[in-house]
Amino acid sequence: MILITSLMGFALLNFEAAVEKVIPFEKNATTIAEMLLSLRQGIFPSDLQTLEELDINLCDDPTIADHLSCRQLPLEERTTYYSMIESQIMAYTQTSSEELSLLRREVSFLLVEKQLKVAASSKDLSISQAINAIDELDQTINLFTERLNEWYGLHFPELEKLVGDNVQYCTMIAQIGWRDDFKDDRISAAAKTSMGVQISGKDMHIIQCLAKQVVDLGKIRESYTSYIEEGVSAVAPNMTALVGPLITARLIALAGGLKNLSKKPASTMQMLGAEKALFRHLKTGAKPPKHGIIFQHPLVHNAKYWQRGKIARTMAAELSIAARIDYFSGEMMAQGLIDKLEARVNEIRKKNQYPPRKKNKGRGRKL
Amino acid sequence: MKEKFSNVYYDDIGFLTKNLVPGIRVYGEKLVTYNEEEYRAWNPNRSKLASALMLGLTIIPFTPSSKVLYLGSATGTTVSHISDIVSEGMIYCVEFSPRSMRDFIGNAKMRNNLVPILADAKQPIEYAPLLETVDVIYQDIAQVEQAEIVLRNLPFLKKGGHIMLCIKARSIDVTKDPNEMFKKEIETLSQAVDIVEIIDIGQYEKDHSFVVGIKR
Repeated sequence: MILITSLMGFALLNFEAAVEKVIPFEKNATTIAEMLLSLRQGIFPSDLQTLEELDINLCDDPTIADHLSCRQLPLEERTTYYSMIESQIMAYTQTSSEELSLLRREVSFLLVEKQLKVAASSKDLSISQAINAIDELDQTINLFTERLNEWYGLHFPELEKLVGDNVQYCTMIAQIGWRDDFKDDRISAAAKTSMGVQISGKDMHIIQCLAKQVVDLGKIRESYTSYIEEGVSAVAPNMTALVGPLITARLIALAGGLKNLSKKPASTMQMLGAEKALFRHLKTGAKPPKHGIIFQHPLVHNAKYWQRGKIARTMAAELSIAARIDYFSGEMMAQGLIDKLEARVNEIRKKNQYPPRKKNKGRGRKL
Repeated sequence: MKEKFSNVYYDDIGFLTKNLVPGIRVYGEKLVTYNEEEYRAWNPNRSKLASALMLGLTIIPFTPSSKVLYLGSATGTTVSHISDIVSEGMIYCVEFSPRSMRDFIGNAKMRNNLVPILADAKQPIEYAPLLETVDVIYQDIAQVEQAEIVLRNLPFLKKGGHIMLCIKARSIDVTKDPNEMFKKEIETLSQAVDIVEIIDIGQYEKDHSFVVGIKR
């Protein structure tokens, strides 16, 4: 027999395409949507066990076909059969065509809402948002620090050179303010000979307001970093062990989730984040990029330029294995990957100790 | 204001459709009142169907009672105008991205002729139970095998029904000549479809072509 899924119920056809039996669904959009959702997710609903006792040779739904180990009905035939028998199912289940189109709409909305809930609840989406937020925080911190450089620089321009870190610079402005109040020897020495002018208390207060904001943004950034570290080591422990939490989070964000990332080949993993250069290469034949975001890993960016591409390639290969373990099993097997990566990197360094000889461009070899 | 096609109007500001939900904008378009009826301006820079119309598309297969399968509905800009046109019909909107779908269902709830489907258009069997036979298939999915996706969904289309396809050459292969890509996709389509109109909409969307066909 042939099984066809409709919103009103299952229809069983014999090979002359005559309806033999209809197993009706409860006329309730929520129940139908839940059943369809579970079939989409590849789970055979337990209340469909009655189907197991029937002699079904062909079935339109992939999950049911798989469960009953019968052949799947191609879409072409499914639509032909369905248009022949729709009115019979409607008569059997006493469904009017208005009811049917209303049911279609209701079930679709419920199904989409359920699917969206499933999609939104995945942890890696939250990690992607956090890593993007960190990039934006960095931009904002830099922007405000530049403004403070100009503004606070009216009073004490020498401070900027003495403090390396943006957030630290802003913390000093926010907490100390006047150049004469600095206790640090180096800074107070500079303050004595400062080129800056005296400013009013009102001006200083206004400047400190902005500096406080930067300090707060710095705190947010710190908490986001630890959130990512925590989240990423739960979602992708092997990748985290291999390249650290921030690169892992960036890769997940670029691929649009761990699921997508785990399906990408190693070569794509190597290029993620270098799309602009890659497409320039494809379009104009310029030199292809050697690395995308994995350049941020010290093994890659500290490597000698002639070894860098090879190391990036190896790292991407191990990363793609790690991503697959993380998505499909979640087991911790990173040590083996780390060992392999180290061994291969050492081999690359040994085999390519010297830079390649520069090719003689243009004139050719002199005889 | 003239009615150029069934439920599609033309004015000196361009094409318009009669607003199914008066007072509500879908994507910030201009609303125009004419004879106490509200119309929505159809922006050719936002909707590829509108740009094809501006560039002289002669076939609009929609009637007020048409049933449409729309593949790649995104956030529903073009869908909203087709929804205005097929006021008594039904549009089945397939979209794969949960993010776009989130924006789309807000609009879809207000319009009684939309059915949202969150699924991969390459696997039509998954959403077959939700569908009925349709009069038109509209496809705007920037994917490598654009024409192939139409062919896979063709069983839902009645015989003699129209397909409308917006090909993005740069999604198929950035390195090749766009015209070659259009030719390749049209050849694939021709296996089951008679091509009746091709419009190059490069003026509005770079390297895009709009194709209309009829199922054999």
